[in-house]
Amino acid sequence: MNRIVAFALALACFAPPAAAQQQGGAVQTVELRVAAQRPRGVLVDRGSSDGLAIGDRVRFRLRGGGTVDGRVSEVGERNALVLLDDPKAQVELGARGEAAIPSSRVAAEVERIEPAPEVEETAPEFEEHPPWERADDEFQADEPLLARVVPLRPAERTPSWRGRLWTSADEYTSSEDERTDGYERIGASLFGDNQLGHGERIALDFEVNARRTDLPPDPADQDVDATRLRVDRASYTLGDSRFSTDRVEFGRFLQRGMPEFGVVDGAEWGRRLDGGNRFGASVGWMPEPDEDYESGHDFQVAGYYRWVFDDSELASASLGAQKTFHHADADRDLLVAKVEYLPLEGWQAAATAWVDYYTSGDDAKGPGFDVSQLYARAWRRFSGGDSLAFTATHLSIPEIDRHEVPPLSAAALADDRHERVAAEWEHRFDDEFSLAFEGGLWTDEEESGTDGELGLTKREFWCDGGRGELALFGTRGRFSRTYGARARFARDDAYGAWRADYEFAQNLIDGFASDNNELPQHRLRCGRDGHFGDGWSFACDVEAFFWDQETAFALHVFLQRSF
Amino acid sequence: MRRTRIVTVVSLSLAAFVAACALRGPDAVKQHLWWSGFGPVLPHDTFPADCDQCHVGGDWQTLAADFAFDHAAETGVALEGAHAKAQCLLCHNDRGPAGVFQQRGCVGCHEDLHEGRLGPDCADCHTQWNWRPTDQRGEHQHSRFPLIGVHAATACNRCHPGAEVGRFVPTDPECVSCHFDDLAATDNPNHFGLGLTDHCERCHLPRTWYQVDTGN
Repeated sequence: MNRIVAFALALACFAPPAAAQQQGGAVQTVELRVAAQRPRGVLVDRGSSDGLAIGDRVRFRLRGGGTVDGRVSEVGERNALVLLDDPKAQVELGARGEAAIPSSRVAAEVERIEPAPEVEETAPEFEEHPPWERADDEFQADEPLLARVVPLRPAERTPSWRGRLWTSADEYTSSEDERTDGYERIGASLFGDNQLGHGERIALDFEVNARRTDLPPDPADQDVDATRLRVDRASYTLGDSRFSTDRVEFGRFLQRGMPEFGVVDGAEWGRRLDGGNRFGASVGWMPEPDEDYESGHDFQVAGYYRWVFDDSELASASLGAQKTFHHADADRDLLVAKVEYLPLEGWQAAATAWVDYYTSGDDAKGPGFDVSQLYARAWRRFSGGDSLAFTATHLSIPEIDRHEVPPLSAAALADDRHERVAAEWEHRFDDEFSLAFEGGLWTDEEESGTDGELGLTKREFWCDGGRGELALFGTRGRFSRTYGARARFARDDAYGAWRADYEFAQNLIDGFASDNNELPQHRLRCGRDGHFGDGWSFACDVEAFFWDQETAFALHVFLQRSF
Repeated sequence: MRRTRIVTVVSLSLAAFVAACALRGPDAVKQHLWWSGFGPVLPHDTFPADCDQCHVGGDWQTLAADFAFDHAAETGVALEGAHAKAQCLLCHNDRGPAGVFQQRGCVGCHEDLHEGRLGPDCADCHTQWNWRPTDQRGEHQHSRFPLIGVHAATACNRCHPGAEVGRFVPTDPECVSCHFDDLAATDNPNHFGLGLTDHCERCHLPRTWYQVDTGN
């Protein structure tokens, strides 16, 4: 109401456009702004409630000077679509404009919104207000935005690409017969938004890599050379926004609803229910998880349901089932159960269990359920920077035909298992000193052991941005015992960080009675991380290993351009 | 035995889940009003009305070159590493409330290519500048197979065939799992003929690929 009255007062700031003139009589100006761009036109933030109607002429004032004219072609209650006379003209978002409309239409709209009160026959006497002394406050540009902002839908966003291009090289050489390994890679990860105008998302992730192993000239050895193109992701996604309860993705992608089911070449559909619960299903072939990523051998169908405590997803529980076929023969029946409790403060917890169901045809495992993997973790960050975390894991090797696990005997499949419980603790004494501990206990089908590491960190060590760490560690492993110490220095600067490590470990190898059971190991590592404002980043590390008789060197180089 | 283990695991998980929900604080999570009325995903209620103070160009996604926003001071969430230079829309978007993304950790925004098998603490291995894994050899000390001898200077995929696509488990620690081809190719002595097909550590040292101690 006030808006209309205010606009009514701003009469005839420019020549009355044709539509209003054609209707004859007085005209009023309605000020408006461009809220979104459309093909051949723009969406403005005024509609029928402001008096606009189809056919009204609109004139936009460009920020850089000049005007562009258009005509209202569609009208909503709070917005309107204006087609520009010159379809190639560009009108910036937020640009101001005016529409001239007949005063009679405004009066009718005012009447409709607020019918005039019945006039009493005898008007009451009232004391006339003295003239207002204070003028209206002028609106300032830095005052809060009171008007409602119209959001852009995914299909209305400007098409864009983002991602990264990268290359890396890892080279190893050892003094033993000059053995060398090389691994060079170049790849790209690209994400396209709304490229086809449907609000979709396109994901592409691929790399070309080359592996090379040069072995000593022994007839029994074979040099290894391989160059591969591997496509990790190539998918098209529709939906997946608050404007759409459904989400569809097809191509090669990691399953969204239940990532534990892995990458598929196929399709996934999911639906979000009121309150945030979700369910969905997927179908497709599963690439083998190795360097070739070969597909076509394993087919899967899967479904899941995810329950959330509320919109904030403070707590959630998910259950999914997957059935796989290897070369068209039934292979794996997998259930995945997952719970998460993730408040922003206090203890957080997450656990996931992979449970296989075996039938009488699974000779090694026998019929029944078996937990092939379990990961459970509870953690908390305290004020002041302290933290504490507990982790429990369980692993056994599932009996499946798919080339996903190492080939093992039936006895090994039945017995092999590995469990570990671990604790991580960090205490900050002040802004400079902190102490950290990580320790664990493990057991498997043959032995049990432990590992621990205690480290002290000092910030602002030696120089500005410097950080020094000293750690003691020990491991009782499956085949050896290891005790050692590590010293680390790092220095952050505006463009990255320098770092240097030295580690000594004394390894005592089980099963040897002679002096050969001791293997001292020195490791030196230094490197540099760099990043620049235009999206470039790089990393370079050099490592050297010294044992009592042999040495080895490694070089790692990484270069990336993000955009 | 197996059923008992499953029942134990499921019972403990459910008990922990119920306890966690019961201990929930009254204002544990405050979310942006992401759903309400389909307004902007990033609340603009307190922003200046002059759009071109921040927005430039022909879309709402491009920000002025001098745009500055102290995310840590304004929201309490510090943007570290590459996040400090990321576009706002990468986190504040139509796919979900940024508060939920944040509370879910890295996987709130990033795809977990390890498929949940390595847990939620990505920073154990990855940096926030370029996501490049660093010093996993040090992390390997916290396993039953610390990398000693030539194993320390060996590419990950030699033991983890799925390393290139993020798969590190399950891996069998027995020597023959990785060295079967070496075993099969050795004829001096003929290991298969002599029944030397397991417990390689009785003779072989991790010092080199070929060194043997026959003193035992």
